[in-house]
Amino acid sequence: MSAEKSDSKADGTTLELPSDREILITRSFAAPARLVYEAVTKPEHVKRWWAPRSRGVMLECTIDLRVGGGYRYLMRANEGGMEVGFSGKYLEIDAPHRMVLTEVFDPFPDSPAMVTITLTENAGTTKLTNLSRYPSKEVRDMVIASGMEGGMRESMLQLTEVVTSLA
Amino acid sequence: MIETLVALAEPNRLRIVELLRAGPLAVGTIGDRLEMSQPQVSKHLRVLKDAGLVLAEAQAQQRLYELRPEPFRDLYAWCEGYRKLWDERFDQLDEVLEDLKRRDEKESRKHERRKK
Repeated sequence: MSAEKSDSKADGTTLELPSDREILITRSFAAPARLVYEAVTKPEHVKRWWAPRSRGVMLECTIDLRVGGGYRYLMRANEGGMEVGFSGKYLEIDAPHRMVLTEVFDPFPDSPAMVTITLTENAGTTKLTNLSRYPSKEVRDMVIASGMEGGMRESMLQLTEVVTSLA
Repeated sequence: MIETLVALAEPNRLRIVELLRAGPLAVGTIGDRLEMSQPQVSKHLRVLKDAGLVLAEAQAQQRLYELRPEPFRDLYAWCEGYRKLWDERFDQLDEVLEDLKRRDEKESRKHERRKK
């Protein structure tokens, strides 16, 4: 649904649903692409932003930045102390412009998402796009639902049901 | 929520919804603008009506179809939590970038001094 767009301020983060199984996140940063690339690919930097402070703390952050290399992010949610982990592999790397990687949410190792990240620099500002493509509409919808305040645990249970019923 | 998304997942229904964003329209007008037959438009409007996305208003001699705001507000609220999650991450990423820019500034000033 390219009509579906959500943003709270002009220079903030926008969310779009370009198709029934994709989520597109866009944001611009006042920094050159090479610095944004560094901040999103070096563990010592990623540790500082990946887990929103209001939601949890990052426990683990490892990155092997090469085609075929893997990454692992693990955080502990403030609400309920649940551990939330993601891992994946890098499929394409075109530094600092583009990366394609898989993304697996721990409880569902057989439902990887495909993520494409692009960085486009213009006059010192870099636009970052993060396009996630999920194996089904149901999984995509549950990912969105998981972002709702307090919705994490509930949506995990629902996701379990959906994945089980699809098996 | 799911009903809304199922109703909107069909491309022609999405086109009808996008058209109605500008204001209520009659079946015939919708058909003309989107180059769809009236039976086709009526079929889609029925699905949209059942999903609570449109309602029909009698106006003079015609029935006009218009969007109901509530499901779209729900859809927005549903997306908003996830968007906020990323927004918070990116606010924190902004802080990291400020540190990196300061680091680079310091580095280049060091190099400048060495050259002199």
